[in-house]
Amino acid sequence: MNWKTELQVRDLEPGQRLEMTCKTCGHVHYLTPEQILGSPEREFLYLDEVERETYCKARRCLGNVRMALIRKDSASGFVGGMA
Amino acid sequence: MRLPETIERLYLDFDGFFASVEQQADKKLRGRPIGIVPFTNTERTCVIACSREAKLRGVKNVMTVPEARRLCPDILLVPQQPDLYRRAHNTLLAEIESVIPIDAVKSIDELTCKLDKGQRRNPQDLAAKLKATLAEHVGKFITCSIGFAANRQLAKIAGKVDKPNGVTIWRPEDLPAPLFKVPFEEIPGVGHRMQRRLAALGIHDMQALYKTQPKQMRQIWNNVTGERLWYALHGYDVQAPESERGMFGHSRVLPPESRTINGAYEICRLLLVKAARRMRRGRYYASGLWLGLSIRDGDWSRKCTLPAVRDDKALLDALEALFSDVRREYPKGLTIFSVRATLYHLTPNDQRQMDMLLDDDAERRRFEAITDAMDRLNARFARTVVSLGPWNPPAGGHVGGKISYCRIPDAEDFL
Repeated sequence: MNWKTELQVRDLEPGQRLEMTCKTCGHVHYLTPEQILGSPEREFLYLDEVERETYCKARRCLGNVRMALIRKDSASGFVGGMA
Repeated sequence: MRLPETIERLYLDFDGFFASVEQQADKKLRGRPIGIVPFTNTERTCVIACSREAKLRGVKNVMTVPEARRLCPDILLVPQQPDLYRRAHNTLLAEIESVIPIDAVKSIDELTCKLDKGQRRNPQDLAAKLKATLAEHVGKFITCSIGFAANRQLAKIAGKVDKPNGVTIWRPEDLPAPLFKVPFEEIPGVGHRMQRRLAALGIHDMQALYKTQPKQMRQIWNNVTGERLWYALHGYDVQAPESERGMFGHSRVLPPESRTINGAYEICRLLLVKAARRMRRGRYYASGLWLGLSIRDGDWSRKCTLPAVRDDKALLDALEALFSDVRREYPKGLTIFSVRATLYHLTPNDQRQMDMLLDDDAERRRFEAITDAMDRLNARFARTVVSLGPWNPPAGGHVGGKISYCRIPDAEDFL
């Protein structure tokens, strides 16, 4: 059980990016909930299922991918050492 | 300002992040003293991070390689892999968010969370769950230290008390006694210069600093940060204000073979293009370019004012003009150790103002279309397949993918 087995597509915020990195060639492409929801009832898919059914988009590769969740907000800086 | 009556914040800091990620990823490095370095082909660089085994032998972060070798002759120098650290950061954060929502990511290896009522009552359980989740789903070689306190600043200081792999809880009723044991250098915001300033005023330890007044600290710091730090140390609910994006830039220490004007120019071109790509992804235009060089005699820098632009052609033309100044001022050549290209005076895409004295709209639209097409192609193929001019990444790679104090690169920064 990890975050991919606990989160469903419907739990993601609109515009949230999922980074898919090919385990074979290192090619990176992104998925958003809007792209995954192209067909009906996919909002109930768990993210590990999305990862398993996604393949590398690089030409002639079709390798398996590793999914990462990309945060929408960037790091919030320290101001004068204040956290 | 509100004075919390119980712990409300968690601050999590990974222990020796770069080194522990390397040890997690490579079994051969586990249990050995390792130092992460920017390049491996020179001794004239420094250890940017080290493992706990190296720290036990006296090696510190940001120590020169010869000094690290003197203290620890069998230290293994490992070239940095920013993309690996970025991926580890994303995985770790996703696992942490399965336990508790993250309030703010402070840097690649630090984050802070707000506690709910149950977590405030039993922070030990939360810390144990976080550590167990990370060990089970990521690996036991990446450990973290966790601090709990009334605000972010106190939680951060608490987290440093029991490193590595510790948990420290500072409830308001326990303070300020534990705080008095912390040396000045462990207090974020109290640097060496500030310590000298405090010493001149007879403030030599935390006890004396704690007894000052808010306005007195504002006066010592010469700005509002001093007053904010006073309230933070006294347990008030205060934190750093959100800052707005002011610039996009990249810098790089040059490898020995590139320490000429032409070598620096070639690398600076790549840095500028990477910074410009980030700026376009952030939907900004820039009206200024700043070039900084670290040279034998100190520093050389110059600014160039631009109409609001975002295309590579306009930015590279400006960089060429700045390097023409360098060539003119140093006709016999120059040894350059590092370069920095920064785009500043940013304007959001939807607020761009045209220069009424410059008739360049048609040309800008043309080059913006070309640049956008290049960006799309590079994103599609996940590498730089097309660029304006040559694209020759220097030895050591990672141009534009460097992890700075609080910038976490995207996968696109490594294209």
